[in-house]
Amino acid sequence: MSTETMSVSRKYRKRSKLGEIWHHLKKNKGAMTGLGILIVMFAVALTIDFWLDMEKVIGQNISQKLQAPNSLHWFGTDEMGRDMFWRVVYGSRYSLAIGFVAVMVSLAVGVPLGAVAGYYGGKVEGLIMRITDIFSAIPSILMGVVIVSILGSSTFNLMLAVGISSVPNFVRITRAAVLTVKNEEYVEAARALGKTDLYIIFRHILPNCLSPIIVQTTLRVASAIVSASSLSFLGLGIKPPSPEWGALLTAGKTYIRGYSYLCLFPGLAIMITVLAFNMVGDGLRDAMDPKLKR
Amino acid sequence: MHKYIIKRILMLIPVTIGVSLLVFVMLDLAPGTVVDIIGGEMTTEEIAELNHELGYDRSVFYRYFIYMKGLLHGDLGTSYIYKVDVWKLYMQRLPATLQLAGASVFLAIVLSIPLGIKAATKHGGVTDNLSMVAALLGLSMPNFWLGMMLIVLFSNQLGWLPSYGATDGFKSLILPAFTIGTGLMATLTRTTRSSMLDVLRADYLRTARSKGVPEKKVVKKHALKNALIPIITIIGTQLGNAVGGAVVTENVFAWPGVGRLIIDAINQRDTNTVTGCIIMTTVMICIIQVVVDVVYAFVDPRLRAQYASAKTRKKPEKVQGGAAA
Repeated sequence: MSTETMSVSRKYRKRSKLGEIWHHLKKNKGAMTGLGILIVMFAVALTIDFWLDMEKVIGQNISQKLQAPNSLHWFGTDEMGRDMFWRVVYGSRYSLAIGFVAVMVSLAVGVPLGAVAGYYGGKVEGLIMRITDIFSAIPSILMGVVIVSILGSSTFNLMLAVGISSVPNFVRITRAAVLTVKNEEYVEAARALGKTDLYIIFRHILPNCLSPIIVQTTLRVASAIVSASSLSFLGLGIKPPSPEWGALLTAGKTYIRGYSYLCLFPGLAIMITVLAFNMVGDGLRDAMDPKLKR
Repeated sequence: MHKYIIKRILMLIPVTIGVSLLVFVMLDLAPGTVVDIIGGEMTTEEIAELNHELGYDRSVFYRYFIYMKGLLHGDLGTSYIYKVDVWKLYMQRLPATLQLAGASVFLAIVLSIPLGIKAATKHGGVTDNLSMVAALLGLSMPNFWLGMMLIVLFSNQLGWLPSYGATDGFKSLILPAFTIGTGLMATLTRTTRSSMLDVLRADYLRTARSKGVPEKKVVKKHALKNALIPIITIIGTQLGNAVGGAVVTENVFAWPGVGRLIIDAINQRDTNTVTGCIIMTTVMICIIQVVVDVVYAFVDPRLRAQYASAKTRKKPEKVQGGAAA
């Protein structure tokens, strides 16, 4: 085989599914920008304890209180003289953790329920879907408020509340995805080979339903971050002086008339994070299902 | 069509039973009861009497049973805190919520649909790219933060608009409506654009163009009409969300709507008010859905045919069968 033919065959060699998705994703500038922002944020959130002196985040200095953004304090200082830049940077830990754990809770409950509903159909499906209807009849923010009221306000309970209130979305999406593949020949073949239902669902059906679930997960992390900060803002999540972004907004609300920068930067941080997740989510959706590309 | 509407309304019964049971059980699991709130300065005997009166000395299911008995007679119960009928309380707050929901959805429709159409017809152009970036920003902005920033700019700095309450009529409505409307605008622009893009590639549009129909007419008369179904669906969903879930925005602007009432009632463990308001919200959302379904039928003759009763659907089959015989 000549060198030219080899290079052509290398160029057109079959990509794995993951490689195919990456190939499409990296062409999408928005998604790559979002991914870049998220990588930086994760790197900061994961390593911040190693390189940041906590005194910068929690250290109070009343003589420096309520200073507008300047070269020393890029985002200004709060009513206790704490540097808002470092508090916002440190807040990424809370928001990213809440977003991810909340969505893991939704996934862990919603995906198996949706898969069972879609796979078995009939009465099981009817029961699961009616319960889902009841849960989704209550607006998710109200559901979050009730759950936090039951469990008490703490970071973990906030994650649970936000996670539980998004379960119906995952049930619906998984069920719809399972319905499209459950009658495929490979499922019938697995059944003919005597595999158990549980094995068929987890080994054959769910791996083929991953695209909509992954896209929904990315987009849901974004909305979980907003929901969590909304609950904190309503006084039900993480309480000030924790530097969670919603809590920073709650604390800044009191001083909004004269010191609006106290609310500006935590809000911008939420917006940029959510924007990054939405860009990656949109990019993944286009990469995984080019038919949906807009 | 009538049958379909009746079926949709009947479906409300199991959902109402489920939602009310869920709310009752969940609020019972929450620590503290309304008696802790209103019985602050009462003696132990008075508290015991109040607990007995409100059924807190019995199981949650007993209280639920009593509530449902009342509900069957159209009684949403009495608020423990405000000492008035929940129905009256809800009706007092509903106009403010509807006003806000209506204004924000109106704003979204007026701005987003033309923008979405423009973006689709100029696919890949500057308008398209700018509107998609704006929509993505609108989707990513937390409502309550946008509300706060609008207050800073238009109330504190410029002094043009009031920052809270609903006492200044139309002026009071602008900021909260824009706050809720931004998210809706973003979703609606994206949906309109994507739906129009689907339709603009259709063969019948190529036919219309080749017949010499002017492009404006092609877009307005042929494309938009066929792209309307997903747009109407999104408008319905968004209106439903605005009616039931504008809790945080109502809080930022101290807007006297249903959302704030429910949040206060949850914090005060006023079970009757929470349950009554959530049932009413569910009913409102269902009504919106039914209206949306009726609008579908007006827009799309194919769907009108699907809604038609079984009897009317069977008729042509019989005629066909007869002809064949």
